[in-house]
Amino acid sequence: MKKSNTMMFVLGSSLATLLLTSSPALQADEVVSLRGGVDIAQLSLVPSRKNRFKDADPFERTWKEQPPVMPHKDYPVSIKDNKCMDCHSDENYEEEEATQIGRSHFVDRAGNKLENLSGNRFFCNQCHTPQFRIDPLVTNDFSTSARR
Amino acid sequence: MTISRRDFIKSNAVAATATAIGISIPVTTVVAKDGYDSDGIRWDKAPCRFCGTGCSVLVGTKNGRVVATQGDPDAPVNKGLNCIKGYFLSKIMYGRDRLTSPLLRMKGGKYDKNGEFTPVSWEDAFEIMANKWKAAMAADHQRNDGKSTVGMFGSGQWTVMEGYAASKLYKAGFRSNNIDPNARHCMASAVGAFMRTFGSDEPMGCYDDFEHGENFVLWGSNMAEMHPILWSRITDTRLTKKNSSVHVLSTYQHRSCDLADNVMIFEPQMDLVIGNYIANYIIQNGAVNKDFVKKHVNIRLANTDIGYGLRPTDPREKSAKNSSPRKAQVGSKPMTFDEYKAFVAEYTLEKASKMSGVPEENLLELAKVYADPKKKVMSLWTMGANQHVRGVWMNHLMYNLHLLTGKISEPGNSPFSLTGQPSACGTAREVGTFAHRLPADLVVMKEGHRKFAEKIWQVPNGTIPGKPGYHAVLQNRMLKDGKLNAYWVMCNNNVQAAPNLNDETMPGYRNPANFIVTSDPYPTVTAMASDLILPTAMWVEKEGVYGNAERRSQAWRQQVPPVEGAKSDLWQLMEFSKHFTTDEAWSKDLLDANPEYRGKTLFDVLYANGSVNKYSLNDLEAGFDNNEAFHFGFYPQKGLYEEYRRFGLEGPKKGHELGEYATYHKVRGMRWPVIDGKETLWRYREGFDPLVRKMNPTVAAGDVYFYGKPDGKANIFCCPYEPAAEVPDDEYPLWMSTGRVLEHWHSGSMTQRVPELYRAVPDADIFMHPDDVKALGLYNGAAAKVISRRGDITGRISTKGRNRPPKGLIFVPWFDARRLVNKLILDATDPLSKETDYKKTAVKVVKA
Repeated sequence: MKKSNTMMFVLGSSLATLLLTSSPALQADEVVSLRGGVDIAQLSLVPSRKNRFKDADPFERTWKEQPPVMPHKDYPVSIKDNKCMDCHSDENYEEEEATQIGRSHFVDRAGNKLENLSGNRFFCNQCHTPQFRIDPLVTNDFSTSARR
Repeated sequence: MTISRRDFIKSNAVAATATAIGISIPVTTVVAKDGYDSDGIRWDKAPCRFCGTGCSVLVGTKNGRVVATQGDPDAPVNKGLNCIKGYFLSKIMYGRDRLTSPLLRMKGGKYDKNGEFTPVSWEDAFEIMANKWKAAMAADHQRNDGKSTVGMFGSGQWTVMEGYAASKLYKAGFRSNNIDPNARHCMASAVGAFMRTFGSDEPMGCYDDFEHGENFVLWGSNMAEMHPILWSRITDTRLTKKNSSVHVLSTYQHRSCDLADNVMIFEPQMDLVIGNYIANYIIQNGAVNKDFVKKHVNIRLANTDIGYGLRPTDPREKSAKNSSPRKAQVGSKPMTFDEYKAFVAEYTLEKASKMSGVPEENLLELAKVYADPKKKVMSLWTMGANQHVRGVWMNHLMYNLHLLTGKISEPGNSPFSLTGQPSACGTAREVGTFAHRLPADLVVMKEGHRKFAEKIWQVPNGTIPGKPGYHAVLQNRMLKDGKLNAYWVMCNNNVQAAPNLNDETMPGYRNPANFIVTSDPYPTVTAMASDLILPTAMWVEKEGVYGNAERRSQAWRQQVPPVEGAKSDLWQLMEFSKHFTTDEAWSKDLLDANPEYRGKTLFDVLYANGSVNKYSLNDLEAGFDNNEAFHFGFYPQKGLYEEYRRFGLEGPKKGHELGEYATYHKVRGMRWPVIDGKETLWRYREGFDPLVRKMNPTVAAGDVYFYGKPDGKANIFCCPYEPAAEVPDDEYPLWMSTGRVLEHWHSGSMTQRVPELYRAVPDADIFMHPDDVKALGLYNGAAAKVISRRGDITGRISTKGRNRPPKGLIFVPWFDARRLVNKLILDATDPLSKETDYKKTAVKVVKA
């Protein structure tokens, strides 16, 4: 498993940059569904091939409480093995140049502080997800002054 | 860095996960609380907009916009945690294509079924809509055959008050029971089994069972993706509690299997065999709790060969002995324990293994969990069991295991029917927005129930029709057949959701005899298939209450003003009622007998009735907008809730008591029955449920009393295996199952508009076994076409993704509007619940 989170080439462009330069498939002034102009009765188009961000810089959060999306592919998590911990655990994150797991993840339901990752947070992929390198389907006008 | 160090960390990550240091100082990692923070952001609670888990979130608003959301640390459901959808709630209202004006199909300045969508005012929109409704009702009065041609398709995503207002408008206002919620597609089988087994809807247990429990069994549910926060609670228990185990029954490998000790991949429909096998095992091994069964259980034999809920002309209906009448479908007769024992005896381990394809040792391991009196067990299920041509039976078979062993209504021993939608329980089920239901478990078929509803609603005796209206699938058939002509779709995306899109959905929507209205925040495929689109305010643009799967009702206040031009479902329902007088909506007979109602508008009768309009604007919380209250001049949400609450407090069925409306704004929800201001965690057991002694003072301490049934006993229903409506054959050799994915909610109309969620899962893939793919000469990522007898879609094949089907089965999610997978689905339902089986379609896959 490869482990450098330094930006390598163009894949490293952040989502924020992508958002600014994106031209979404659907425009706001026409009334179309997410099918675009494809009639409901028509056969669906074959979706384009899409690539995921592989070893990008961490994406900036939109607001502070948003869980970071993954700038790389997803790794398996199972009861036998949590691959995410290989890089993101407190022991490894510095060496692996990975993001350290937030302190919120070391608290149980009762509010007790834990030595290790809470069982509640064991399946990282419930909140963190990799991203395909694609334009949004619809422009989203969310904006925030909240702290990042 | 060495491999051995990694391995050490890996194994330790599991072993040492969640070992508490033992200091119980609550660590608050979240700065925000209710109120304003130092950035001038106001934080206030609201339930999540998505699934039936009912997580609470804190919504951060500033200058009339949602600027942030976070998990609510004070909420017992989620304790500050959200899933990825929940974390991105802040963006769901801000897709640039939010609808801001009613849109009517017009040509040459006039309405035309084949016209282009053209912006019109709300007044013009309601006028044409009311004209269509009036024309339909006038024809109904003339025919006078008791059949209504107006209808509505509602939602388990409506607020409680919206569902209640809609139910009143249809059942009392328009005197039509043709109102059904999209919850028919998800929870109807669960409801059917609750009523038949316990005589009262919704689970006896609650989410606290996740911490009290030890052994968890998923019957066809993928909680890791569909109920992630509940899954995180199970995960925590599994990782920290000795003797804890997780068993997953599924027709394909998925993320929930990642936590499982015992994964059982079974042939579709064979869950019926497995359920009966475990019952047989319990009986054969002397594990029946005889005292419990004797005191608390009746046994009934269900009528069999009941058909598949298809059109009566279908050969499968004609050949089924009990496919009609209704009485034959639902019929059952008493059975002795010995007869039951003999009935299930054929479901041996060998037979169950052979038919299901699950190895004997795995089935045996599961059976032992249920049979061992020392082991606590929680069974969990959702769509795998409910969206099933024998969904009610499958629900019964699971209750049977808990009733045979007495493992029920106590912490950790819990058959738990999970819910799909945020208020399928609260709105669709508790309010009774189904075609046959009234609030608080009452039904339209019973005169006493109708009379009680008419009393609360202050409408004349005989106003509510006594015959059930058209259920979801029947509505589409009736639209196609021209027998349902004025139709309102609200808060759902049924063209994408309903089965058999090509043959049974679209023909009705585009039938020239019909006028179809869709209320939605976004231009969904349903909106595009309609004649009039009404732009709708959503989520925290309005005040509401949702009820989740553990009977918890949670209220929220309006946090931001609606997008310009958009109106809430509640506003639309109430405002539309002003366009009708009783003379237009009611029959001559009813008005002749009750002349004092003449000339009144439906708004006057239903909402300005002294009860719904009882509370003034002074009751609103200072600092919060309430657009509906400002418009109508009273506080409709409170009035509707307080009127609705009377059904539980004064109605003929006990067990659905709710608290005062104002209280729900102060607490993180309460689980009904709420008795003397206190919530109930486990129903039917003395000591937990105060209603037990109220219903029967002789019940011993700690004992069970199923007071939903007149004799206080629950029913074991004896139901055999029967085949699916459609099975793979030479031409269509594969099973297809559909379902959701973690990142998208239902049809994707909200989540596909959130860039991070869209980028996570942009397309619905065709999940397939590598050998099946190879046999077609295809490969992972190849474009392919999936074809059934009813339609086709294209997509890309995934053999390495999160879902790993066995050979002979594919899985395709339904969120993707560009791949309308429900074109492929047969409109076969459980004949008892009328819920569609979305999990078993025969298909073939070819190169695209």
